[in-house]
Amino acid sequence: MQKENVKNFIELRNVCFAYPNASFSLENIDLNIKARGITLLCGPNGSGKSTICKLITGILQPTSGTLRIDGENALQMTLAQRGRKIGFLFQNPAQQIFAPEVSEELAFIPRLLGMPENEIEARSNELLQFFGLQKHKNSPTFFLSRGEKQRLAMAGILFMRPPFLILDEPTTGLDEENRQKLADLLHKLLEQGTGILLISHDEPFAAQFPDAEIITIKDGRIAN
Amino acid sequence: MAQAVLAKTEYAYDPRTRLTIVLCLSSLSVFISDVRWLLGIFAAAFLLTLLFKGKILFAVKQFKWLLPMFVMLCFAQSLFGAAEGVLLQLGSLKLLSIYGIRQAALFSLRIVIVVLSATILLPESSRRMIQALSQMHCPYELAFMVTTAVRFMSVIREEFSNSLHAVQMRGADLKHIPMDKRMKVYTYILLPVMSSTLFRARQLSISLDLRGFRRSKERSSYFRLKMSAKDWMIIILALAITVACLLIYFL
Ligand SMILES: Nc1ncnc2c1ncn2[C@@H]1O[C@H](COP(=O)(O)OP(=O)(O)OP(=O)(O)O)[C@@H](O)[C@H]1O
Ligand SMILES: [Mg+2]
Repeated sequence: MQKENVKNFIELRNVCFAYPNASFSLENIDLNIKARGITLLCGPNGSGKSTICKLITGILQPTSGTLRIDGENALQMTLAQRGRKIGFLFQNPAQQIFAPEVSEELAFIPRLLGMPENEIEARSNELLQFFGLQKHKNSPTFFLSRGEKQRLAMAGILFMRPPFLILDEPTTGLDEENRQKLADLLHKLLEQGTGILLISHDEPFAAQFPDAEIITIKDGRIAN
Repeated sequence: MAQAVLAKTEYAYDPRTRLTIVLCLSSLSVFISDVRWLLGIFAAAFLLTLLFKGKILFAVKQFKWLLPMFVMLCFAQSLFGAAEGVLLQLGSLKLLSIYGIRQAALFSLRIVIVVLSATILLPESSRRMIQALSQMHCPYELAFMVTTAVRFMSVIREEFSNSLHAVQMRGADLKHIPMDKRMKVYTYILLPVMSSTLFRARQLSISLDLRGFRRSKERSSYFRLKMSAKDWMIIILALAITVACLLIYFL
């Protein structure tokens, strides 16, 4: 289609990274990820997919190389500045749910940022409704099931409507109905112009995005 | 493996001796609120940590956030505390006062003493700690949870930083928001992190039970800790000094 005209949203050049006291390393990673449409990041367990996501979002710092997000030098952006451009779903949602209560998980940040209370209420209700979490509104987040945590984390990152999403295994723990709902939601977001970087070992799910651009990584190196 | 754990030479003191010292130091630091006394207790804690091969470096690493906290406490206590020795005033607001500085110093010193002395427990293996606690008739489950929680310190730190990353990724710029809001975020996420860690420790204990690691009724261990004369002397001395200090301070 008109893929060629879409500008790059995320650009990695010669990015290297190594965990301290560990053998794994990423070497000379070059990546271009489009601002629109969906990109699929594939690779076996332990190949470095999640590590790349953490480098892009600023949770980890590369040892060398350059990283640009939306045309800007991302290495000089704070986590929050990157977070406003990219919604990041962690591979393990329990690591990203920080509030004691479901409604608070959604409302805490916008309240901190000064969003009007009625707006917060409206967006919260819409998201809780969509993700089927309405009845858990006042439940402690800690006891949510795996799939419920996954959906709550997803609701959390969609709250501020970021223009780009990085989803690390978004279907883990979801039942068939919720997987389909998620796929439909992603299709809708793609139509609205959101860009997506998807990591998924769930082949039937990934197959629902046939025009995805595919990047394969193996042992810390880009393989295609 | 078990034999290695039991090797005598590695452990110069009984875990109960270490526990007593930590309890003495932390209760002194909690009950006494005089900066000069606390400085003395701090010096004692430092010496004892050296003597018992506690992890001073480990403690120092935990203190990165101490200075910002001290500064914040100074202002908070000055603003809302007694109007004693006001140093800096803006209209009717007491920005900085002797009282505020003293309160902040007290609080910070207490934390330093408690964390520093707690590292005295670190050279012990969790196996020996659990055994010591259960020989003191502490229920096994509780003993397991407490020692696991201590081992889980690094897990807590990890989870805490995960939460901080998550909060920032959602667009809250912790570096550029006022100190009070930042503090609010920290305290807000700390509680769930602690409780989830304790819960995980408990689950771990249950999963060990499921794998047949469970005591029948009284957990019979072929290995029992014995206190040496040296241990008894240290314990009695520590308790005596603590009681004496408290008596002198309060009378
Ligand atoms: N904090 C860490 N310290 C040391 N090594 C780490 C750390 N995190 C990950 N690793 C190692 O880095 C390698 C890549 O991990 P990463 O999580 O990026 O893999 P992945 O491609 O996302 O795998 P999966 O498909 O299982 O999610 C692994 O070998 C892992 O053991
Ligand atoms: Mg991964």
